[in-house]
Amino acid sequence: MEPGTSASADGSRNEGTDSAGDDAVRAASSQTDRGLSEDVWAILLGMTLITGALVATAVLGDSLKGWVAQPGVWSTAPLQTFVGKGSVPLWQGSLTALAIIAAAGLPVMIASNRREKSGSSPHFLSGFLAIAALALVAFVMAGQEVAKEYGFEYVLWALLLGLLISNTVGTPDWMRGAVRGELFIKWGLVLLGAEVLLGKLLALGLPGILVSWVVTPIVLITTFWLGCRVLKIPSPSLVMVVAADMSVCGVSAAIATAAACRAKKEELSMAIGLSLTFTAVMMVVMPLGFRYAGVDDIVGGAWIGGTIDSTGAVAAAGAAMGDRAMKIATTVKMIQNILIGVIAFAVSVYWAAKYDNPSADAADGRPSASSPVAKPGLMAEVWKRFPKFVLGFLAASLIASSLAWSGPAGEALAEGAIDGVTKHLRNWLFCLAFVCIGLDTDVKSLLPALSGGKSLVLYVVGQTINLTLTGLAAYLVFGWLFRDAIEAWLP
Amino acid sequence: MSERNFRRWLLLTIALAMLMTWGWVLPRVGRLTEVRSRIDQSQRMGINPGAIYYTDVFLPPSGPTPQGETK
Repeated sequence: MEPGTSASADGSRNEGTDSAGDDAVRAASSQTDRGLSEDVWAILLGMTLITGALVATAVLGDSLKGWVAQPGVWSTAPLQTFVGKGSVPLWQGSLTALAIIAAAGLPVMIASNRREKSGSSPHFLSGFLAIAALALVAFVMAGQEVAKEYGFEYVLWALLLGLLISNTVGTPDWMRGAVRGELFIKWGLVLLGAEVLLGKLLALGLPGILVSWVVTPIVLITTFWLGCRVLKIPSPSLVMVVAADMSVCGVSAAIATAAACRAKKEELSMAIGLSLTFTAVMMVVMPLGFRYAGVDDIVGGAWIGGTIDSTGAVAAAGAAMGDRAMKIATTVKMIQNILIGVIAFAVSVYWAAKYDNPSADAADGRPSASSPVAKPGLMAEVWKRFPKFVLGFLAASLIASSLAWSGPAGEALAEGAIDGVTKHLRNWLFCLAFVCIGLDTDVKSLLPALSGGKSLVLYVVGQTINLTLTGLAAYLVFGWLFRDAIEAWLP
Repeated sequence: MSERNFRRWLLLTIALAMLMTWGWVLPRVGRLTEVRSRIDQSQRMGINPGAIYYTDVFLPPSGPTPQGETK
């Protein structure tokens, strides 16, 4: 989210003055003009990499494994992070990943820099190398086994490293040309789309769908309503990102919804900070609390899977309750992960129609009776403002899902390409994006995103609703209605 | 001290603190019995607690879904 491409510009619409509204329209239009090209590039780059990954996996098979990677885990010697257990050392896989990103993205970024006259190509190259070095440090920090065990993901360290530089010595001018956080995020999201395998939705049958796809949207909508109407948080995009982060699947959902509703980078940073802090607490407290309260492993696993934000933390917390709890927890979370495709699409359409629409009513964003919204141009206007990269995200999901659905060979191909190539590239892109966000953020600008503590209150209230509803659903579905079927399914 | 120098020293101090934390503090925290047992369990079960998406944890094999009547 770079300056001017966020919801901040149209936030002025809520103030309800005509001039502010006109400014917002102009700002929104220019954002769309610039964003369109970036969105299309994100789709093209993402699809190229997905196609390349599929072809390489089909040709090379398992021998491809390890050639694209990211730094791993270490305990006492940081250099362990570059070794790994496979035949190809992780430093080699990491360099290959960065080389692929640079080779694919470099021409696009240089071209857009020239268009915006914000830097020259030599500056871009050195800037990209510096950002890549910071991303590497973020991965090394996240790879320390203690930091990793408590769910402090690389995005947090990437953000903090960027913030540290920009708020002390300042981001050097020679780096600015490569600070393309929004492009990296959208590109990473298109790659993430390939990991949204819709067939996984059925992994637990009806019980999984009931807990993950019925309760989660209810919590999301309720939290959004509470934040906007009861807590009266002025920025709807902040409320949406916090709600999605808390109710769906943590960082990945926050990134997807923030891009879909054009949230400010400070809002995304705040939501992720809240989520990772509460995740570290919940992943320790929930299994202990459930054991103390005598909650059985199946219900506890479903409860953990439906409530703890971060996917990795769900696995660790489930494991603390036993193998069966871990299997239930991770499967429920996986089904919830699949939901981000639907959520990102729904949020982008809703935002394009309501908040990004210049003819929406100033006070509440709803179309007024006399507004041009009612005219036939509505769909064209919504389409103009719709974040197009979401189409790439959905297309990637449909392609990978169809392939996985086509049979065992197709499934092996799709999963081999994800596991061997695209997920590592996606992690690198998100890491680069968060370094860029940090480099582009004044730490003082994070305070308004707290909304005087209301963001924290929203998270706590929303998570309480989430815990209550998911707990009820877990007891009803996993503890009673489908208990025998689940028992028979487990090893 | 000028503002610029102050900021440089601030960056250096924080960088040293981070180096100390990752190079000395965290490895020692990792030796505490309670923390060690958690880490060992995660490593034994192949869990990546820092995963941001399910594909970072593992890709579960396709298999039969739970079958049976509801109560």
